[in-house]
Amino acid sequence: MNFEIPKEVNTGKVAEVTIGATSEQGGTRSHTVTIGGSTSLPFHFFEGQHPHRPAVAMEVFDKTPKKYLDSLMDYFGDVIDKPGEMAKKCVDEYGAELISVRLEGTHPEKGDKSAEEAAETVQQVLESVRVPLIISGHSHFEKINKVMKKVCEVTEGENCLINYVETDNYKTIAAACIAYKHTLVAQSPIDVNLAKQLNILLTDMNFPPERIVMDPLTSTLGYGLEYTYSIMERIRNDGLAGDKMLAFPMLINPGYESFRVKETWAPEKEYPDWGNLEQRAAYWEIATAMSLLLTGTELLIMYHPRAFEVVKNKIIEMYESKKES
Amino acid sequence: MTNKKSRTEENNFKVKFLPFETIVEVPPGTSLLDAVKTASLPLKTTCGGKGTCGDCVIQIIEGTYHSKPSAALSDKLASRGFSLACQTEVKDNITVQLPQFRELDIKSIVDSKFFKEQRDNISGVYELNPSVKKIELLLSPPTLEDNYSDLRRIERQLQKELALKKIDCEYSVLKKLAQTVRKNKGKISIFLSLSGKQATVIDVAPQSEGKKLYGIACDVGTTTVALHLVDLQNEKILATASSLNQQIACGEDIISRINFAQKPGRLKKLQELIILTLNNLIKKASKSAKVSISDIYLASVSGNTTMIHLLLNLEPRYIREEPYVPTFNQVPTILSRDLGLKMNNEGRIYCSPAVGSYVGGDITAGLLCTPILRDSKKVALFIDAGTNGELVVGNKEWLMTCACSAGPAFEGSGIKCGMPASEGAIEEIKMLDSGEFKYKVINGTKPQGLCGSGLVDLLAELFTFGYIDRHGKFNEKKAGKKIVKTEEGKGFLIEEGKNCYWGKDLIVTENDISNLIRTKAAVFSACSVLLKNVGLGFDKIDSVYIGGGFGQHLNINNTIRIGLLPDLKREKFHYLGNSSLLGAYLILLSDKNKDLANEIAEKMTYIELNTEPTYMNEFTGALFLPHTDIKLFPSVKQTLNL
Amino acid sequence: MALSGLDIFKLLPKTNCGDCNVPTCMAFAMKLAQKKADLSECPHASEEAKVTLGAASEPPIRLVKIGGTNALEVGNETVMFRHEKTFFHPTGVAIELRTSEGEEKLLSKIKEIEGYNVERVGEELSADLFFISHDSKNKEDFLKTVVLAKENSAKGIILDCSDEEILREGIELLKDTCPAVLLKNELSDKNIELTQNSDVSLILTAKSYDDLAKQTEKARNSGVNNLILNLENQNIGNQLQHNAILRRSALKKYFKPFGYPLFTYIHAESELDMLARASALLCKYDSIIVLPKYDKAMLYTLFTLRQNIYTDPQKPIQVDPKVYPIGEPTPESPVFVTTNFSLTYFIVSGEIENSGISAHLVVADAEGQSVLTAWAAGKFVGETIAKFIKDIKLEQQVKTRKIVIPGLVSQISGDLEDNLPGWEVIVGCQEASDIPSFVKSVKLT
Repeated sequence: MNFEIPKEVNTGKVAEVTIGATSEQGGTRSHTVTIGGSTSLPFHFFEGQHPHRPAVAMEVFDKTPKKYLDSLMDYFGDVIDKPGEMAKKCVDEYGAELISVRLEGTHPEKGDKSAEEAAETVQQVLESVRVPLIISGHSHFEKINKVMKKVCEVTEGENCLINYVETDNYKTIAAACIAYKHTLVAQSPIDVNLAKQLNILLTDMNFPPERIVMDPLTSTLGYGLEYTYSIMERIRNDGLAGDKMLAFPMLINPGYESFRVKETWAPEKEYPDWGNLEQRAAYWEIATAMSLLLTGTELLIMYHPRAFEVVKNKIIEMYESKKES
Repeated sequence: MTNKKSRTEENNFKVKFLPFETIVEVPPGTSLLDAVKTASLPLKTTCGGKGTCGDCVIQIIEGTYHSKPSAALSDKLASRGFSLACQTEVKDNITVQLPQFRELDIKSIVDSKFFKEQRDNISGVYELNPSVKKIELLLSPPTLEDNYSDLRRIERQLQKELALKKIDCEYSVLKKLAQTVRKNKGKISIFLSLSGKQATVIDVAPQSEGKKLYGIACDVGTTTVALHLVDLQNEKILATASSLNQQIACGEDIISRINFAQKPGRLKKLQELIILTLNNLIKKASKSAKVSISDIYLASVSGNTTMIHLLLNLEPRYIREEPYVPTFNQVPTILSRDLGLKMNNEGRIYCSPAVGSYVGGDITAGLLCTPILRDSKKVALFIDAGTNGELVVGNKEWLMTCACSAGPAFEGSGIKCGMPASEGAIEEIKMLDSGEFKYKVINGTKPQGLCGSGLVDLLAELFTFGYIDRHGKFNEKKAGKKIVKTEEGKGFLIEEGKNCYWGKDLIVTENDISNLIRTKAAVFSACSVLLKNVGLGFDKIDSVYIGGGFGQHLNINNTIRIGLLPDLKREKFHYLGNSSLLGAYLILLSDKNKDLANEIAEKMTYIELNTEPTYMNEFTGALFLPHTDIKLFPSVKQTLNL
Repeated sequence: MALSGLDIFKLLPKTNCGDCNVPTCMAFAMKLAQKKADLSECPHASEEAKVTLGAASEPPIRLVKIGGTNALEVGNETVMFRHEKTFFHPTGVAIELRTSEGEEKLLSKIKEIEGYNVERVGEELSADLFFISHDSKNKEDFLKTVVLAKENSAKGIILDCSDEEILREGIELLKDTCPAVLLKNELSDKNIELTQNSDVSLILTAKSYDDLAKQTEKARNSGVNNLILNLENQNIGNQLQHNAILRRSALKKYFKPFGYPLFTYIHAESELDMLARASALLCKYDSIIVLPKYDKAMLYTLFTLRQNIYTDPQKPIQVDPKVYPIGEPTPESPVFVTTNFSLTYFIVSGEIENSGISAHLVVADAEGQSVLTAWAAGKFVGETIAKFIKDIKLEQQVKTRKIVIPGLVSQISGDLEDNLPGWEVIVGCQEASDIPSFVKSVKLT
């Protein structure tokens, strides 16, 4: 029997989205990061184009997170309350390709920092590193709208990735992104239809489709990962099958989500069957990231430097096989 | 009677609520709203009794009262005895009409255009052959030679005329038989209940009394109840009456009613409420047709499985518990005296057969009015969009069905500006290019709200003109001053208060719109799942029959535009109106339809949507205008340029 | 092409006789289409139906067994994506035993692995197989290791030994326990002889598709059908692509030579790297992975991932019904109640956490259904919730006597209060996403 590789040709193509802007483009970044553009399933180099490899970001904070893992403090303890320096460490020492600035401290319940303070934090980070930025917010509509508007304004032209809007609160932030030329994360709660609906609503208000990144809402390993996994596979399948409103690059947060669950902080003494905590914390983030990479992730925000390193290396290794196909 | 027991104190006043005739005693100064609550009757209030929303408007029929003036109630209405329950204190024995329960004026289904044109092509037979018959006999007087008993002589003659095998007789007949046969020289009318070759004499009267044979066909819905009074000697509908199901006080949907029935005494109360509802309607219909209640010998009832359980005082809890098994599928014929229904004491009641817990006799009856069983190749889809939406797809060879909890939105319930299809309801509404609405009100009065067909139009027009986005949220820039703040959030002004019956602005809120979208999504997604289960695409559907309480006219184009019904060629759609009532009428007219309904029930394969893994996905897909997947609605895409 | 319910119905007698214990032929047809019934249950099926439906149901990927009493079964998969139906047979995780490790060390390792059993969401998870690699080149070492593994564990065994004679003796020792053999060289006649008419499975190794197809054809033609495929490559990108192509060929093209489960021995630079590779291959189509190292944390992570990926997406996943602490609750913290549908639990617990408060979340047993579904089915009503709260003795754990119920089931508040004397029921918000604002607007304790 002669074997012929069964190739599937897709009519759709994942949108190419660029984050960041160099000085020629009106920003101050040393380079931009482009994601998306694939025409076949993730890493199926044998049957489609994959012009850009998934990018891996790390995250810094405007306020020391309440529950930050000891295992991460070993790496970031000295800079955790200095977002600019922490960003520098992430980029210079660990090789972060983008930096996410999490503005959790502006949440009325978690510090209630003002929009101006948030803008200042972001500017600090902008000055300390030259990689493109992701600005990550929270779910307090009224406050985050104010904060993001301000941040969009002071970072005009930098083409930050504004993370995120949702169906019940998208108009203000999306309008700010259009006005100040930023890219946007459209977040929806683990559902293909709801994801698509938000994308339609955004494009209906003339939001440029090449500036949309989807976040199908990451659930971490052991806590509903299978839902995110299958929803992302379905989104990608539909996108490649030609549904333009689902053909956007996808963002996931293995770091933030993993380090909220017990498995990354419960000591081995209490859970001997769970094994070594130090390793386990990194494993948890890696398994979340690796599995979701296979479903169509183009952008990851990771926390543990060792997990980050392994995942980034795996992506690079996978892209090496592209040459052979 | 459902009088609530309360301590009788000397100074208490009695408050009587119509149409329930419920009486409660309350201390002086109690607000009427609290009195309503004491009586455990339903009355909507959005503001919680602050006198600002105007939802709790009631009418004082008798007795003096004091009411604080409120901006939410126009002077004109106040002068006509209307009052806000929360602003009215009890100072006397009074009688109060709860306005939600005014009798409805639903037009007779013989107006159904589809039925008129197609009645010879439907699955049921349209003929007059009821299971209770009136036979005129002339009994030869007994002689010494012919000395058979009165009853035997009747039997003998009946056997000769009707080729019957066995004849029984009710005790009540026996008691008056001797006098009756002798009163009018042997000229008597016999009322026979027939079942195949067997018959039971259920009444006898001298012909001179001119006793007639009438029947009633009723649709017992979760939200509304409707009935026809029919002359069974010439199939004519003499009167039609309808009202809200008074059980609504005990919960809006089936599950709530089943829940309610779980406490001791409550099941009985639910039965009493539905019998009360039916008896009020029978009274009203017979009064208007000048018919004696004792001439009503036959009733054909169709309703969902839960409603029939409650009507018959049967434990309903197993309907909702896995594996969802009802007490019966086919109900034996029941005697009116066992239920206390206002008709002849020996009257027979027939309930149309159910398929299962969530597909009831209203659907088997409804299918009788469609041509679905006439063809074994073409595929038809039947949709009954009531409080519970039920769908059937198939043909003569196979039938598949499922049910979804759509909610009562299209019956006008659960929507701030909604109402049943009765006088004062906007049944059609169009938006002009100026942004003004043009509408048609049932009976041409000032509008009180919108019924199902009006709500479909409204949603379609708001969407078409870009006042709401595909998610059902207002486009505030475009709507400008039309967006108003209400107790329930943002709303869109349909008509100013000065032009409305209640004197307050008619408003559709964003919440209402979400509710409507959820309801239409439930129906459409059930439809997709049903078809996917069989492996058929929408394009394989040859015709669609729609039943339900939308109102007289349903604008098919608009139902498609909002994504309630699939985007098929418009000529494939047929609106039946109240198909459950029409089916009950067919069964009332001819006994053959009972067998046909049973045949339909047995052929149906039921799919449980709750355990259908794809349903949730289909549902969220349908929570958009017209649908997340616009490819399913090509004509809407083209017209609206989506 | 899978047949639809209607297609199958046309082949059935259409008598609605009920002899198959399903009320209608259409219902039976739909069960057949969903593979929930077998045509043999219909005593009146025509020959045509048997032929047509028989052809449609042959498994495109063979089921292979490794091990004795509690044999691991792999293969028999039918879809590329779990959402299309489900993945049926979870990836077997094998741990390597090297003969050079020495008897003493091996024995304690085997015992430890045999004893490692971890529970997650009500499921007991453990390693499935031992992979014995003959790296000491000493016959006695090899046979001793085989005996050690066999005597101290019930797990299935994969043998990796290049000496055919030694291998033969090893297989002899494992009689009746369905061992598997990894062949690193091209399949030889001797190999075939070794396994013909036995319960041994062969893991065929190849460097190219054509080579692999050639070998499986050879085995099949000799009647050796218990095969597992090992298309060797060091690059994870290539491995994933190979797996996708092999699976697709089997499922979509019915390419018989590749209709077998897939195998990988994980070569890695570090533990983290090993976990990363194993995670990816577990998701994308490997039926057996061999870990060169025994590491509890790694196994627990992989088992959790395997549990996630291999659950049936069409069945709601349940979490254990019990009281879950959110944040660091004290006996005075507020009490919330919801159902044990996993997604409901994840979302509700996430949003309570998001709101910044600490609370007790009572996850009542509703058979894994979501709030409204469970309510409609009578599984999440006043009576059942009250009973659950009494059963878990909540009153002894918390001092709060207010309980927040989901806004979607506000109807049950009265009933719940009646069934839970001394408690006040607060009707919560309808959407979980509103919990953060809800907890601020209402006094919960």
